[in-house]
Amino acid sequence: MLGKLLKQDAKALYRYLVPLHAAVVVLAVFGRLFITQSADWSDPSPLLIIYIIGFTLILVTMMTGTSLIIAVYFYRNLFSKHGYLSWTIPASAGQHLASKTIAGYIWLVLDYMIAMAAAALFLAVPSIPWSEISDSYSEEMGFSLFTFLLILSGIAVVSCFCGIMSYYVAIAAGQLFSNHRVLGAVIVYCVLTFLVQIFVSIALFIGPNGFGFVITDTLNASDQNITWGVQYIQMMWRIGFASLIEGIIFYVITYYIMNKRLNLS
Amino acid sequence: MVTPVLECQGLSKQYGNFYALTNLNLTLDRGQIVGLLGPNGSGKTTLIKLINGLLVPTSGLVSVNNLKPGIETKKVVSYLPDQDYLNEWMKIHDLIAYFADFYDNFSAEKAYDMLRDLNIDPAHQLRTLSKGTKEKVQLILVMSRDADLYILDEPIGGVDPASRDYILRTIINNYSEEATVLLSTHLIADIENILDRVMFLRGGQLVLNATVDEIRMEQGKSVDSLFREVFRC
Repeated sequence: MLGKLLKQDAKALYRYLVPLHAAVVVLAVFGRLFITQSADWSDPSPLLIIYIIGFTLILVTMMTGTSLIIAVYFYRNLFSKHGYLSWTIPASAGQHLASKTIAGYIWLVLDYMIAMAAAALFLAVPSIPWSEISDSYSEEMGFSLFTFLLILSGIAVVSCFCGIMSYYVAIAAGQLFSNHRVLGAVIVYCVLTFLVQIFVSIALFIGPNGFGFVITDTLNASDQNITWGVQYIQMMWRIGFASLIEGIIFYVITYYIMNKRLNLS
Repeated sequence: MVTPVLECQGLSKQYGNFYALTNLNLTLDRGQIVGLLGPNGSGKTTLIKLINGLLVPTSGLVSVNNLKPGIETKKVVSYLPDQDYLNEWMKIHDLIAYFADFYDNFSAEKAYDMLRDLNIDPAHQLRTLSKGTKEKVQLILVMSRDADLYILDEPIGGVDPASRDYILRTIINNYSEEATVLLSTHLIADIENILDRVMFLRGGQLVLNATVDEIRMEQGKSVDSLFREVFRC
């Protein structure tokens, strides 16, 4: 049953997300061939600057749009009039949630990878001195730019899970309101985002290797072995771990609401 | 003893301070067409949603084949909601494939036969169809299942009188002797002739549960006349 649900969910998301991402890839290729490849990076023209800003906005729109499409699909498929079909096929709440989570998660990770690839395609041109940028980064941070991108990707992959579950839990919790359930979901999402920031801050600062202690130590210059690079990696690990915990908590709450508190309007 | 297809015991559903259903007790046996009748807000749709597991009861029990609503009951209940609930972007043959994929008791052949009878092209997207044709497609999908319990919420509300006859014939011809059809509608006169039993709901409570023959013989009235009398404003 999970396989059948996944097939349907993937198909529904595919309709919107493939054209969106294909358009971004086409724009990246166009930008590379006709703008960035031949640009003078030491003296950037207004057109180049405008195109870079525009392309950044397009990437942000693509990533926001992907999240929005996944969240709206979750709502429409389970809690709008389409829910009358979804909830009457012989599938459990757990199967519905697992299917939506896997389908949405795969698309969020793909979205991140396509954004990185499009940015690389757009910017990795011979005229930009990437080796110099990389060397100075390694010197400053104590680890290579490649390592940074690898860690960033790892955190992003974990954060995708937390991100998707924060949409789902907010939409599911919105269904507990008797009226104005979409507004309820938006309010829950805002409150959750605030609470998550507090949780991440606590996760960053507590413990003997916490960020607060490291800053204090660095300020006191008592431990010269701790570089900003090490602090940065520690911070990233903590963010990743906190995101994973949040995602799991959100998943459990969403499952509980879908399984025990379903009241389709 | 044969297990009843549907049983409600002390079933209540509360929305805020309002009770949509109050302490409802009823049992439905197999092999009959039952009219679930009542004015707007009487609790018909709430009861139907509870049977389908779309709502959680405030108190009491609802069971299909002695099972609480869940995966097993969804396999044997074929439900037609009172609204357009299918994906508008899907083509009719995609919907048939969808139903065949999820319901083991769905017959694609039967669905295509009924579409042919009504001259509906399965290659059409749902959004291109008229309201009445959409309702016919929805009914065809629901009646192409070999279910134990068919729950049809306003199945003839949006179609013309000529199509109503076809739909009612479809309902009669497509359920087996072991199956039960629970049919909710306001168009009592149109369906009266196919009903075996009627249940009147008022204010979330069952006020009448009798066979159509009992009503005609004991009260000397049609179901439509009795309904107008009981629910006179």
